[in-house]
Amino acid sequence: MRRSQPETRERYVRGLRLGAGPGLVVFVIGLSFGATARMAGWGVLAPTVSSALTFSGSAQFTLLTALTSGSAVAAVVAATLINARYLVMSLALNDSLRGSRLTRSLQAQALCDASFVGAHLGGGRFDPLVLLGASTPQWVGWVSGTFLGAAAGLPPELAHRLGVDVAFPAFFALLALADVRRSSTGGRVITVAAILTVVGLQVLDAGTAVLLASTAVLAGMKRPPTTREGP
Amino acid sequence: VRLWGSILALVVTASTLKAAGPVALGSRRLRPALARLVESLAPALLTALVVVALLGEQGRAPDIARVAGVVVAVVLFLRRAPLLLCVVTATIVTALVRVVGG
Repeated sequence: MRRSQPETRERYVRGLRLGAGPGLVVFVIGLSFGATARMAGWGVLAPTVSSALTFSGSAQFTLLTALTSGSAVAAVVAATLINARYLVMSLALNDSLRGSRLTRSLQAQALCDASFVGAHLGGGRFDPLVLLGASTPQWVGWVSGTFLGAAAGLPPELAHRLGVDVAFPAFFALLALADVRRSSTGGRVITVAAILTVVGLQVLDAGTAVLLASTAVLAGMKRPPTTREGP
Repeated sequence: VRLWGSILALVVTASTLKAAGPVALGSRRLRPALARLVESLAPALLTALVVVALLGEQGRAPDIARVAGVVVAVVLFLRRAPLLLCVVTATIVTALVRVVGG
């Protein structure tokens, strides 16, 4: 059945509303990224293009840090590993997308952490229009924040002194909590994920430790209902 | 060249990872057991990113000011405060801890 236009618009607008708060947060983080990149000699254009096309704060910060201290190949690999979670998210999202492989692949480009949580309808189903709506203000916030941070040439120490760098972990912690509220096993999953990451970081790089933590979903598995009567 | 090459390489890998689901699976569906696991994927990954941000990339350099900020944000959130207020308060707490800590 064809969906009516108003319903389509309504779902996109619902996404926009969900993404407005996160958009403001990533704007501030973007200011910090832009300023740090300018300080590292990236200029203004390079960080802005990076934010517009990569749209992944954690990977971009990793690339920036790793490029300053190591080889370009190692930096790209480290940043890609941080992004490896998108592979898992993309596999999860695919069931909820419609159209050809290419259309689905383009829709999946709107993926980001907050939108993935916001577009979750429960039971592993996602609303692609809510996802797109939620990603729009975040993309605008991230790109404009990066540009302004780089153009203004704010000293990154200022952002650190103002505590801006906490916005990213605080925001992600709240997103995780918002999502687990809907599930009876969520508390167990985030506890196991935290333990796996702490242990993983001792022997692995950060990106691989994050991937390892994704296996915490196994702790959220409910036992299938027993149909057999007692002996 | 080194900078732009790295930026573009990351753009390519990021887009490829995001497109991996549709490209690999097409219109095939995930098995129900896997679909159930997907449910808790986002909180698991987000938690891991938070831990890395709080403990550092080697997991051995906890940033006390950030930890304090995140704890306050979580407490406020559990008391039903709006998301933006929680994040702004976390920022203020982190800044204050840094001022006090020198």
